[in-house]
Amino acid sequence: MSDDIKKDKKTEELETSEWLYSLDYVLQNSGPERVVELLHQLQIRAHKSGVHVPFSANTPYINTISKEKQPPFPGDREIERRIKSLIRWIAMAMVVKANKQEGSVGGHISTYASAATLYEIGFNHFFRGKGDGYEGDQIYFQGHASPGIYARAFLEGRITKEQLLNFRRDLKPEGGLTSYPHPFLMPNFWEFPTVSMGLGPLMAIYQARFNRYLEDRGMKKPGGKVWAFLGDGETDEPESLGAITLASREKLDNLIFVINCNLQRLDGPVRGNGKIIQELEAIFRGAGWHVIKAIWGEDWESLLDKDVDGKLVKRMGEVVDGEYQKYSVEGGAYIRKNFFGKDPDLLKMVEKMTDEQLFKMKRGGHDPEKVYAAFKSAVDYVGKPIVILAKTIKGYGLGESGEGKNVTHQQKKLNEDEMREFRSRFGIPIADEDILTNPFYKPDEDSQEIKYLKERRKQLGGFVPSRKTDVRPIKTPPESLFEEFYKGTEGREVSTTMVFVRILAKLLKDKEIGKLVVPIVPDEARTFGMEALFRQVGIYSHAGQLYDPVDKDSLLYYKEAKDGQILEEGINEAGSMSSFIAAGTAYNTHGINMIPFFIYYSMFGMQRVGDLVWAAGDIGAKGFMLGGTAGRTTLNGEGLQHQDGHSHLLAYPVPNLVTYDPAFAYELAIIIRDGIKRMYEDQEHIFYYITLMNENYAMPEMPKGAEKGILKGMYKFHASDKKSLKLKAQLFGSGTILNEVLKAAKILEDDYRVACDVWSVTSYKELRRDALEAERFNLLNPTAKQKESYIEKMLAKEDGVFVASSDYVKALPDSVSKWFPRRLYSLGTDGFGRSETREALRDFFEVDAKHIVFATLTALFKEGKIQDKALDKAAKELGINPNKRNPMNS
Amino acid sequence: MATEFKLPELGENIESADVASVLVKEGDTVKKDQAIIEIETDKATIEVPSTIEGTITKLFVKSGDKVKVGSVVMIVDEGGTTEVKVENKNVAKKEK
Repeated sequence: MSDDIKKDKKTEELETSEWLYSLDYVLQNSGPERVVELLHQLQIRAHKSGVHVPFSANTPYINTISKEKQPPFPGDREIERRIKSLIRWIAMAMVVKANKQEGSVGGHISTYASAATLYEIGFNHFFRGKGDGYEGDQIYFQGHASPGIYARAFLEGRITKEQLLNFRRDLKPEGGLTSYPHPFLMPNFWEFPTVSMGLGPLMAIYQARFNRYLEDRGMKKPGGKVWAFLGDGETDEPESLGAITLASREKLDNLIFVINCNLQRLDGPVRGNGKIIQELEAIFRGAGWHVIKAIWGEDWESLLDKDVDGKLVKRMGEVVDGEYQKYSVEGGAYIRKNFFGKDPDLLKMVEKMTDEQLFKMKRGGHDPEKVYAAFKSAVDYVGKPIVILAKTIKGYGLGESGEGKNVTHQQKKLNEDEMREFRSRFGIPIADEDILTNPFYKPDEDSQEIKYLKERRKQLGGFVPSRKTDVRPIKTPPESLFEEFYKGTEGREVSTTMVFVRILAKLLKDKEIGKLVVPIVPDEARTFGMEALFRQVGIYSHAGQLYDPVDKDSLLYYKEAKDGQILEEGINEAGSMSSFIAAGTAYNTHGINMIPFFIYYSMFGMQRVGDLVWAAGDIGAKGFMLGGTAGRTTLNGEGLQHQDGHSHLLAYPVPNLVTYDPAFAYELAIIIRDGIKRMYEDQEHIFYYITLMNENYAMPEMPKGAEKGILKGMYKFHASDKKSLKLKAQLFGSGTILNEVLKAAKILEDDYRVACDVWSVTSYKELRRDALEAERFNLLNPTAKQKESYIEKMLAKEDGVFVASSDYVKALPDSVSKWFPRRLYSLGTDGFGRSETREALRDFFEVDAKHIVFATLTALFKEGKIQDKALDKAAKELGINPNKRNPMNS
Repeated sequence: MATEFKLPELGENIESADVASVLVKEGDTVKKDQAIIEIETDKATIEVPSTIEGTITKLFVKSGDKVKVGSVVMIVDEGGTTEVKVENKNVAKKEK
């Protein structure tokens, strides 16, 4: 080393110590905020001078809350430990017993085992119930941890021993416990369905935002937190992290994510070659969240006190998760050799500790004081959403049988020896002979444990989770509000979308229910002609409108307001659906009958957010989903990805989703009014899917007596007055294709002497459900008076051939065809969509008037009613090409 | 004083609209923000609110008319005596 370099080195050292001294001086005299400001100014100066400071969103791999900043623990550590041990034991025993029965029903032990401390700190110190004077928290419990939540409810006296024995046996007459949180199956207990994974965190974000929305509109008192418990592996689901910037943008400090970082997913490590906690920290900090890491327990922090040269922090930061997982399995000697053994100074640090002591050093998520400090800091934090990253061990406490192993997630059976070991480790007072036969130990009601546990819940506002619906039914808006739609448009051409927007605008003005309506739209309001609502009720924005909108001078300007009513979600169907769920369950969550109307491109509903629709059914969400620009041939020009001809079929499996494909204004009005009545006045647990179209045509007056048929799914729109004609057809049409059917009926009567009755089919799903009900009854009660389906009743005396056409796949009419008195011929739009005009599309998919005419003539030919020559002639006249390519596979 | 109420700018790219219904009549008293007419574009029905208050002395539109942005919809007497004469040239008949 030359003298010059040595001199430079010395200068640099002096320079560094001067800067550090300056920093210490400022810190002491002006505090940390001034330090941050100075560092920020330095960064700006460096950047301006062309010095690029490398970006890092990470802090060191240690606890965010230092030992010095840790608040005193307010609880009784020993009693809380005993309660937690009991819960661990009961949860484990419940799953093991369920799997020793005949017909093993599965279950998971290891998620709760790793998260027990996280939950218990929440239950004893933070989770707010809905008692007097409390707004109550919304808690999204990680689905796989449900055994622990049941075990606690057993100690609280809310679940019986018989129910514990019936874990995963929903059909037991005395009551079972659902595998995961399912409000549909346990409506007084679970509030939020959290499996399928990823949906819990997504829904939690929008729940927190909806709470803010209600507060900003003056409909709910401020208060209450939304907690989302999720696994580190779960964050690989795009839904888990996909909406986190919304939370920071909206400054949702009422939202707390708790990520149980046990480093393992189902098959193996979450990030064997990396560090999931650091990865998540960078993601959440980058997105503007406040991140709290609880990585190390007290024992490790004592070692950190000795780490004057930073070697331990460095080592903590360089070890990958796969290796940390191995430490939890291999024992103290392995940790000494492979973690501390990399540096003599580190080895010296633990020389006085035994291998057992090393092995027992806790991770942060298992240390009640660290978890308490993290939760306390989270609930007190203002201005940002908070995420707690807690490091744990999967299967903690399962010992040899499953702690930290790759197969731990699947672990559900422990043998007697393993249960005995578990019992002893956690000090459960159960005799050896009772371990298998009677394991559900509960201390007496006047024991310290039960008294403590109940008192804590009383102080915090009552038991959680718990769902009690306390909402008054609302009065359905009067007929007069809808009457204009029954009269038709007197020749004016409008679309059903325009009709819907008008209905919505009127509902928003209604004195009784107007304020309860929540329009939700994923950035397509102008597509649907909803911009007039911007001015009428405003777009919700917590910040209000901080700018002068570019179109301020126009009537329909883009108006954002703090008390705005529209949830404009941007191009984001999953978020919109989550808002729909939050609004549609406000009757449970907040005791308010909010009525969401979520309108979107129908193609991006069922097939894009189908999993959330299923969750909406489980949670009991109410409201209207409106698939706009629907119909494979009605949405012209947009092509293959946009043209929806199957969302109605995808809606079939959701049991409590009522669907309609209306053609006319009055049908839509009748359906929406009845929907409000059924959901909010009669309090049925159903929700609606209605398709809307963008084709303009004159809306007719409602035929007399049509109301019942509209709701049942089918009614006769037009009866032929051509009594003298010998040939007869019954034509069925839905949505805009009903117009093609009407045209076809006229051609058939005028040109081919076939008298046609025309039926409007508003819902194949409703028809099928009605028919299935009757069929099931008849199958189970063959000797009783047999029931008739609505279809059978309506068509029993109808003559002629049956031809059904819609803008959807043929499977819809086919799904009800067996209840028709004779064969039903189905026309539909199977196949990928095309960019084209409506006329060309309807020709291509063979649902235009001429194809309906020809299908009807073919049906008559098959029935022997007309000759082949007549059919050939018709084909030529109509321009039917029998060799045309099949739209289904071309 | 008599004041003209003209069809305001509706939104970007909207130059005219059809009158779906007229919600007031001559002689009525209107308040600020009260809906005067309903108009239809090819996508939406829009209520047009008044920006002035007073008594309607003259109404220039009826259901079915096509009205252009900027054309006079009505004249409102806001009180006082000055009379203003208005020629409403922008209102065209609905195209058949």
